[in-house]
Amino acid sequence: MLIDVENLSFYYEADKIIFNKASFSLSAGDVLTILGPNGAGKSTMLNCLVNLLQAKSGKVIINGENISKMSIREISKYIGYVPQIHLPTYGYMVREYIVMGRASKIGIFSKPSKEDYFFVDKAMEKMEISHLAWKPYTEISGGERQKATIAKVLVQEPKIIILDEPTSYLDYGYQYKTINLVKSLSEEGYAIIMTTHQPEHAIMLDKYSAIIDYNGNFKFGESKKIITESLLSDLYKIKIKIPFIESLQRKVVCPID
Amino acid sequence: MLGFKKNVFSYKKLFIAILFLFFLVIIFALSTGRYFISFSDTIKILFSNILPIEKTWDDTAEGVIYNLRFPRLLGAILIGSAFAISGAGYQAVFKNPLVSPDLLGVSSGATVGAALVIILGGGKMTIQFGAFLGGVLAVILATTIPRLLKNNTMMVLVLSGIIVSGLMSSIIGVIKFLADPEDQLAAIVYWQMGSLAKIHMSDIYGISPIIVFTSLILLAIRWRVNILTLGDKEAKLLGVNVSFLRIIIIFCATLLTASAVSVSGTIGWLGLIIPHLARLLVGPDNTKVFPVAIMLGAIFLIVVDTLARILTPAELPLTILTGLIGAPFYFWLLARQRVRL
Repeated sequence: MLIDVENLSFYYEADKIIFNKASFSLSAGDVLTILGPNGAGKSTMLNCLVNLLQAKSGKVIINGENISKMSIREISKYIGYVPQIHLPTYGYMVREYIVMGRASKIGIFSKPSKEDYFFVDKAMEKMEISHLAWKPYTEISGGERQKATIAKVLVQEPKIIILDEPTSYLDYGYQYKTINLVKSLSEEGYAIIMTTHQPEHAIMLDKYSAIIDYNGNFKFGESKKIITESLLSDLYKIKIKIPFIESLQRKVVCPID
Repeated sequence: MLGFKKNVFSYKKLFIAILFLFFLVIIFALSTGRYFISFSDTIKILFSNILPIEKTWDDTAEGVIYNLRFPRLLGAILIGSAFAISGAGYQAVFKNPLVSPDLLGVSSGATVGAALVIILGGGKMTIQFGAFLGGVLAVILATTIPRLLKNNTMMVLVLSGIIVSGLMSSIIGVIKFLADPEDQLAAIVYWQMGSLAKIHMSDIYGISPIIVFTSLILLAIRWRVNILTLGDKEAKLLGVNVSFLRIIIIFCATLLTASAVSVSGTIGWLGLIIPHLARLLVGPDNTKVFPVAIMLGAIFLIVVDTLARILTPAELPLTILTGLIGAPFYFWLLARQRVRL
C-alpha cells in the first residue's frame, strides 16, 4: 500500500469533530474522490494527510513510514499537492513557475540545472502548455493555470497527487477535461486524492469515494457502492436521483424538485 | 526553446548595459563638484594605479578624488545596494511589492538609537553604533511579538512591525522634545534625512564586511526566495523549510539596512522603488531581480548623492532628493504597469 490512513480524527474543539476515525488505503493507480458539503472538513483532511495539520489521533503511513516522523522534504518526495487556483502576487513566467516544483531536489544555494528544465519542458509538453512557457503565470486563463500547477507537481516526481477542488473556478469544459486528466494520471500509476463538490466526478472516475458529513462521520468505499441516492440526498439536503443512462453507459447525478 | 535563448540573451545584454552605466556614473561622480576634474583626467587617475600612465593632472585633482570623493562613492555604492537588495528580499518574504525594508521597524529603531546617543552627547562612532543596535533591536522586538501571541502568520508579523514602528516614532518624538533645539534637535532632524557628507574611509571599513557578507548570502539563496512568494503552504509542500528561509532573509535584510542607516542616516524610497524598477526590467524572477537591484541601487544613490553635492552651495539631505525623484518615478512606474502590481 502506498498510503494507509488509520483511524484519523481531527477537531479544533472537542465538541465539534471535523472527522472521526477515518481509515482508507490506496495503491498506485487508485483514485479517491472526497465529497462533503461546504465546511465539512475536506480541506482539513487533505492538510492532515500532508502533515500541515497534526491529526488529534490516528496516523497516516506513506510507504511504510509514519508521516508525522517525516521531514517536509521527505514528504514532498511522495506527495505532490495541487492547491485551489489562486493568483500569486508575482507574475513568474510559466516555465519559471513550473521549475519551482523541483525545489526539493535543488540545494539551497543552487539554481535549477539544465536537467531540471528538461523535466519542466517534458511536463509542459505533456500538459500541452509548451506555447505558454514565456507568458506570465498571472496572465493565462484559469484552466491553463490549472495545467501549469499540475505540471509543477509532475516535475516534483511524487507518487501521490492531491488535488484540492481542482474543478472549482473552471468553466464547464475545463471541469470535464480536468477529470479526464486526473483519470489519465491515475492510469500512469499516480495515486490520486481529490476533493470535489460534484458527486458526478466520483462516478466518472469510478474508483473509490469518501464522504465527510457535517457531524464528522467518515465513510469510504468503492464509488459504485457508496454513491447512492439516499446518501447524497442526506449529505446535500436536497432530493437527488442517480438514473442509469443507456446511451452513456453510466449513472448521472440529477437533483430533482 | 527559442524564447528561452532570447530571454537569457536580453538579460545578459541588459546587465552589461547596467555595468556600463555604473561605470559612467562613477566617472561622473568623481569628476563633478566644486572642483571640476575633466572626465579623461578622472579615468586616467583611476587607472594610473594599475597601468603606467603619464601624469598629466595636478596633485589637487588626485587628492580630491581619493580623499574626498572616493569614500563617498564607495559609501553610495554600498548603501544604495544594501537598501535595494534588502527591499527586494522584504518584498519577496511579505509577498507584497509595496513593502519597504522599514516594515519591521529597522529605520525607526535606528533613529531612536542615533537620537538617544545624540542627546547623550556621543560622538560619530557612538551614534553609528547606537543606530545599528537600535535598528536590530526593533526588528528583534517585531519578530518576538508573534511568538508571544503564539500566532506565526504574516499578518501578525506585519502588525507587529506597525506596532514597533509606531512606538519608535513616539519615542523619537519624546527625544526630540527633550533635545537641545540649538544643536541636538538639528542633528537629529538632519540624521533622519540622510546624508553621505560626513562619510569617511573608516566608516566604509566598518560596514563593508557586513554588507558584502549578507548580500552574498541573499544572492546565494535567490532562487529559493522565489518559492517563498508562492505562499507558505505551497512552499512547504515543495519541501522548502519556509520559516528557516524567512528568518535568513529577514536577518540579512535587517543587518543590511541597519548597517547602511548607521552610516548615512535614514534614506527614504530607495528600498521601495529600486526592486520595483528591477522587476520592471527583468520580470519577477529573483535570480535576476537581486543582482539588477544591487546595481541599480548603487547607481541611483551615486547619482542622488552627486546631485546633493552640486545642486546647492549647502548640501541637500538625501531623502529630499530621493523623494523628489522617487515619488514621480513611482507614479510613472505604476502608470506604466496600469497598477497591475
